[in-house]
Amino acid sequence: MSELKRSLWPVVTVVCAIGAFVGGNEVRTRQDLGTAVPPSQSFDVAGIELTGQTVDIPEGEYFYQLTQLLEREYVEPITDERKLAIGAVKGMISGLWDPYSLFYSPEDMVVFQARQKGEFAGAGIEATLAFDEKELVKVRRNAHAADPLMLFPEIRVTMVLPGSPAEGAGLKVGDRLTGINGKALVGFSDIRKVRDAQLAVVKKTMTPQEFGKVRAEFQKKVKSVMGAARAMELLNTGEGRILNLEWSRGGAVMQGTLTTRSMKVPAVQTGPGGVTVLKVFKGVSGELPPVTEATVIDLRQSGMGDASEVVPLLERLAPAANFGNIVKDKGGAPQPLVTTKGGQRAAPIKLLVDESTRGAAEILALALKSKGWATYEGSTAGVPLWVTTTQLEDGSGYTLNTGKFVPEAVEARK
Amino acid sequence: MKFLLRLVALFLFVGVVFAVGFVSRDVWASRPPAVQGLRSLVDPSSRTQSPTELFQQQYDKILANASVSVGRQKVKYAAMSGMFGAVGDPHTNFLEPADSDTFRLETNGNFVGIGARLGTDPAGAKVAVVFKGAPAEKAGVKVGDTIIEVDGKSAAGMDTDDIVKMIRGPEGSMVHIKVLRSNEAAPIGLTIRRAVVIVPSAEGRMLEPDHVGLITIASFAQPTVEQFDQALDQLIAQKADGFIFDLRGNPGGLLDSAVEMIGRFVENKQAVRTKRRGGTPETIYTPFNKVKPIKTPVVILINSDSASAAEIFSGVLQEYHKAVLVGEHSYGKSSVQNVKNLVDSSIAKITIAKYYLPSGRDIGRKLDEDGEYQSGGLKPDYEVVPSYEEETVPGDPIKDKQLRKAIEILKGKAGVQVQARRKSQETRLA
Repeated sequence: MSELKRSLWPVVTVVCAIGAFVGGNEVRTRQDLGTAVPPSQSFDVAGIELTGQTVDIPEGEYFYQLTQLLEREYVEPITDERKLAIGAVKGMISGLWDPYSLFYSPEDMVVFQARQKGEFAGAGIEATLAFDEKELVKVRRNAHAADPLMLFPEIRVTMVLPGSPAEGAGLKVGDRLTGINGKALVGFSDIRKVRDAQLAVVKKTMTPQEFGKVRAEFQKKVKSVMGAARAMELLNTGEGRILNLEWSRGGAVMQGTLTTRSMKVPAVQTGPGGVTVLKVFKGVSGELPPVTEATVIDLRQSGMGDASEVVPLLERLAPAANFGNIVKDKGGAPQPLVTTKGGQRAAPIKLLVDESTRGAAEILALALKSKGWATYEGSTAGVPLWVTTTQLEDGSGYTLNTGKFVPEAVEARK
Repeated sequence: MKFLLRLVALFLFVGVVFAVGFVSRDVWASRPPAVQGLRSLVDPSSRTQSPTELFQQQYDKILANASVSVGRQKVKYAAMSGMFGAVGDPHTNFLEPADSDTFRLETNGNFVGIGARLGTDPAGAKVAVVFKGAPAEKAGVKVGDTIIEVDGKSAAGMDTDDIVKMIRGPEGSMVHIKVLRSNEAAPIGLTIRRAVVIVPSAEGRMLEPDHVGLITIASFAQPTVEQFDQALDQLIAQKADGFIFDLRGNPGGLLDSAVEMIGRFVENKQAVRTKRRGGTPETIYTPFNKVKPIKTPVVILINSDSASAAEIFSGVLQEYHKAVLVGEHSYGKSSVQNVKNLVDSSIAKITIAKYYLPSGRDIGRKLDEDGEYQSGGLKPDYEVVPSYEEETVPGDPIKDKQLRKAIEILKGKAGVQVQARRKSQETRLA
């Protein structure tokens, strides 16, 4: 008996040890996965050799297994796993290929958030990356189908703050920036120009000599280029930096010089003639006094603004109502734009708008106009996009274009 | 009593082993063990969101709320490539299935198709190269032809990639194409049977009148060694006065192929030393008894697109004084990648080691703040930069400055240095 007992102990110990080790490992896996994947589904992403079949592995499991693979194999230890998760978010946002869905590093996020509050630096403008729409559809479908050269963005000015260095230099909304400090900002249309010329030579509508000129001009341009990210950084940050800008307006090439500086722009201001100059910045709704009498609101040069201010602003400017929906390009259930509280029904508001009235400001304008509570003087940019902002734990963040505002009246007419 | 003591000891032991099992992956990944995670097992309120949960939360949010139409798979793969990007190493990449095919083709050196390299053309796709002995050659496809129709569908205005997709298909199946040829008025219809095509990654020819052997090595794939041997043997038999290996634009490939090819010049010597994380360096030697009888000098052409295995091949031969390097500094990739095929036919390419040349040199590329090249790569013994103003025809002994310089060196004539840049031509395999 004691013989048996003596030999049983080591066996029990070993079995328990193995069990405990495997158990510990398993518990860790569950903990790392957390709520991401139901534990019943288990795949080995890296363990099985290529089968050629289509396997759809849930994204959480996929992500987890690849983090494990990187941690085991990468030449240097990966100490911060969370960095990988944030990288994945960055990848997802870039993969949308949407000029209004952008990822910001912690430093860029600080700049972005300051701008949302009306604290500007650099040239005092807002610029947007413009792409060739057809190419964007292709790249979203399959990166390979798109022509990489046609994915070069163009930088378009979408807001020029009154009194800003950019305004002094002569920049206007709609201008396309083509150069900064002697470096060219090459966009898809420059490349298309060369391509079209090439095609014209094939079709014999252009001589090879003429084509040679087009190509030489392009080659001269691309000798020294600046990336769009660097250009945006120069335009949006810094004080006391001299920028020599070149831009095109309706085919004409223009130039100007400015010195960057910081500007604090109030969200609500009384302009000449008692006009309320409103910028849809973060916190604007708290600053706007209740509107009770006929008034004129200037919604120009407000930029994309902060969508989360739209509802509180509507609550101050108009009675509670169902204004319409945020509709996604991809379809799906629309998100209603509804206010539950409301201000008093004021006398009609006159809105001063122009092509710089876009984003949150444009949604606000459209909503008020569609109910007949406001009239326009001018016409808006046509990008009433509801763009949300998300901040991640390391300070980085992203904006996400969640759809276009469609007023209810318009929907009903359809 | 003794039993109880033993039981308590066993419990303690099991607890410790459990903890070891819990943190074992941290030890494996050489980072501090996740004590926090252990603590949260006891006290659930101290639990923080795991990286996977963080990812999952954002994935769900982005997929549900984004306005644009992007597929679920696309978002997943975009996330994986972003995650690999966060590692901060340009050579650690995730390739989704669509990209991994191209990558596999590059390393395997063979594919199923008609055996041609296609370039862009507004009317369809221009045939840039027809591979020797490939189905396209047998069917009569000529360099310069423009493919305007594939299986009855017009290729005009299509992207070369899409045309390639239409032309490629299963082995043994037929594809019907229509081509435009410059001296023919009507399009020519051709029917081609698709077959396995081995991409010529090493091709040799004799440059006359200098009687210098030129071998162009496009990459270091599996069949490259054999192709290189064939070309070399032929040129040796023709008694070449010297050899030029053109490795410009060669992105590298398999380390084994490069080491084997170095073995044609140096026997049983150290080729490279690789060092993994926390591991001891591992030395890779060149093979025995594979040295070729080469009595004449060797020049290797490199440029900033010569990378990885191409740099090992050039750098090792340079250090053993078997070759002189001409051209521009090479890329500067001093790492080794493990290529893992995943179940869904994606690829995880992960840098697993650094390598050093026999002298101990690390040729790693250094960039400045703007991401522009600062230093790194192999320095050519003779720097020759092709000029923008002058027409450059790669592989032409007169219209290719770097090649011209190589010939001059082999012939004992030294030239003057000039400035410029090579135009890269993009083509696709069909």
